[in-house]
Amino acid sequence: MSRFARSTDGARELLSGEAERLEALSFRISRLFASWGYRLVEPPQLDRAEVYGERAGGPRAPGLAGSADQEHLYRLLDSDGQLLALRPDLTTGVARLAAGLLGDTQVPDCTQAGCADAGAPFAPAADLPLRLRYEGDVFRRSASGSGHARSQRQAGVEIIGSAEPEADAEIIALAYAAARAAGLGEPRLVIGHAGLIHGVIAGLDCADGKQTGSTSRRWLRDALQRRDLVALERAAGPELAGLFAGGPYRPADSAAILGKLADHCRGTEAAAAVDNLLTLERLLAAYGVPQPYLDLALLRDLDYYTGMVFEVLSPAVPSAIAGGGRYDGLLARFGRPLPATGFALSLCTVAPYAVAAQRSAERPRRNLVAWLDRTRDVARGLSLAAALRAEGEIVETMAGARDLSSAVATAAARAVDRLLLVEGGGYREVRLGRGASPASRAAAQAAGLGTGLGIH
Amino acid sequence: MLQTQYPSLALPRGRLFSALHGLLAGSGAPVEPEDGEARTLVIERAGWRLLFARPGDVSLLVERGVADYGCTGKDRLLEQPSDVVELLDLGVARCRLVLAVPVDHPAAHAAVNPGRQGTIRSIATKYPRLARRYLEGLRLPAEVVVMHGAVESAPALGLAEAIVDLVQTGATLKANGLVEVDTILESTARLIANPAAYRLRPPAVDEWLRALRRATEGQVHEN
Repeated sequence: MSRFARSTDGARELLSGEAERLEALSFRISRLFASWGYRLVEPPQLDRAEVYGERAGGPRAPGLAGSADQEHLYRLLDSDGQLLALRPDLTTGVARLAAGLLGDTQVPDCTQAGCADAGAPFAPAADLPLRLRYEGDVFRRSASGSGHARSQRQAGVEIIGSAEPEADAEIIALAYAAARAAGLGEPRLVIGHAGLIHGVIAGLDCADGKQTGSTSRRWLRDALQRRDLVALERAAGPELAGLFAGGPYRPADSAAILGKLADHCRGTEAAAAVDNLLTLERLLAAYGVPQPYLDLALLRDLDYYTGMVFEVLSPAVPSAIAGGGRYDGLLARFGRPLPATGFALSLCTVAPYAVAAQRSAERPRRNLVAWLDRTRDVARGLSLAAALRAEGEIVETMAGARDLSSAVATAAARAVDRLLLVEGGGYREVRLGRGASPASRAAAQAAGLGTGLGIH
Repeated sequence: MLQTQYPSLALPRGRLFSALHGLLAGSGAPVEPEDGEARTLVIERAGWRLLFARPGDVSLLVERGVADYGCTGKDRLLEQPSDVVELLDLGVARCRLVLAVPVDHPAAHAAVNPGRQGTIRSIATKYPRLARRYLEGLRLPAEVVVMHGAVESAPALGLAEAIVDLVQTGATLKANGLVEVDTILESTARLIANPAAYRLRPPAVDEWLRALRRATEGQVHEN
């Protein structure tokens, strides 16, 4: 076997069926995002490593191993000695792109043909909030042999420039709509909030005079990041740890849980978080989206998320489908302090479980146009193929078929719906897919002609 | 991923299973003592799905969602971090990860200090990540020799000067002429969960988890 017969562990290679399923899902999701008014941007795949900061500053990618730490970046040295990295997430690049465009530079609005508005800013302040969508592969380095994927295709959206709960509600509702659009059964929304965790940290500082803010924050952040509820209980006590471990709580129980949590909190952040969650509850009801479950342990990147965080889960899928939240500190890193909220959906995680939107009756017909005589029939064969393609049908061509039965055999192997054999002045149609039973297809293969075929 | 009432549970075969089965049976999980030696990988019993794996593979099964829950040692969780939720300290299979040297080694009767460079030049272990982190903490530039078993034989075979290995009673160390010099960490068996499965758990699983916690608290703790 050639040493190139397979790619390296964790590198994604898709064969036709999977690749087409991913493409179909991607198409449905991007249409959905576009229909809610989100405009497409493309951040660079390769960028200076420092953009991704010491702790990368980017969100955890659902379904992809590894945090956003530097040690998980694929870094490379450019020929001029600059350290570059493959993007571990899309949000950082989009934030940088948006921050740049929202600055003083005037960029032509090339959405109009001929860039008629050359010179106009991409988004003057009056145009905030910006709604942006994006899709592409992100890369995370993982231990070789761990079986973790090294790249993941994500699609996501961001609302930049609004601190309002309406923006958060829109993001959550859109994530839910995306899960539905993918055909995933009973998506469940789970929500948490950074303000609650900050409140708990302040409470811990008060409770134990020895612990300074940085210590409480560090171990709590670490325990949450590692999902280590045992460590949480050791340090915070069973009651508080129980509140974290007991989630997700049904919407009806959330108020009681938040009440119990309040006993462990100090400062105003927790109360503000509770208010925010109540407002989101009301807004999501207006969207007709099921109420989210509350999970205090959902927040894992305390340094990154500043408000609500959420995930979308589905019983069919072994990891989160989508995740996101509010990250008001990100654009400030790029010189334009603006609030932002958004989410990313893992197309690769979802694609195997996504239900095909089109039933077979709606999908385009697949044809094989074949001809026996390479000289005499080629022009007619190609123009027949072109005519069918213009009508939206899928056409494969086969030049120089040996005879009808070999053309039929090829057509059957390719699982086309119809074979058109060009000969002399015209062509014969041989139906194989819809309207023909497997038995008649087999018979056609064996005999060349037979029952179940329509020959014109 | 499950739609049934009861979860799928990944369990380690061998010695770790013996320590666990009493506790699990006490929680209501349909585990039989002889399951630990079972030839089959999957046992479906009373609505549960039990998966038996090598101890090192339990967290992989749970992380991938093949099993919703699993039991594995804290030592394994630290050596190979996985994206799983650590739910409960089961309190059994207590052991220590230690640095050990032959009885006649200079380090045997002197503390291993930072700055005493060259005191130990090579260490054999099944836990390279933890061993390296320990060495970095001590600023000890020893080579780490990765082995998969019978680590206690390494010094006698000349593979390494010292070992970092898991110790329960200390009998194996003693039998190989080794003494503990330092304790790196304590480990017990833990219950872990697939994060998505945990977030979607049905009430029956909540009940089981509560029962398991009660069983854990009620047991006589091992030394």
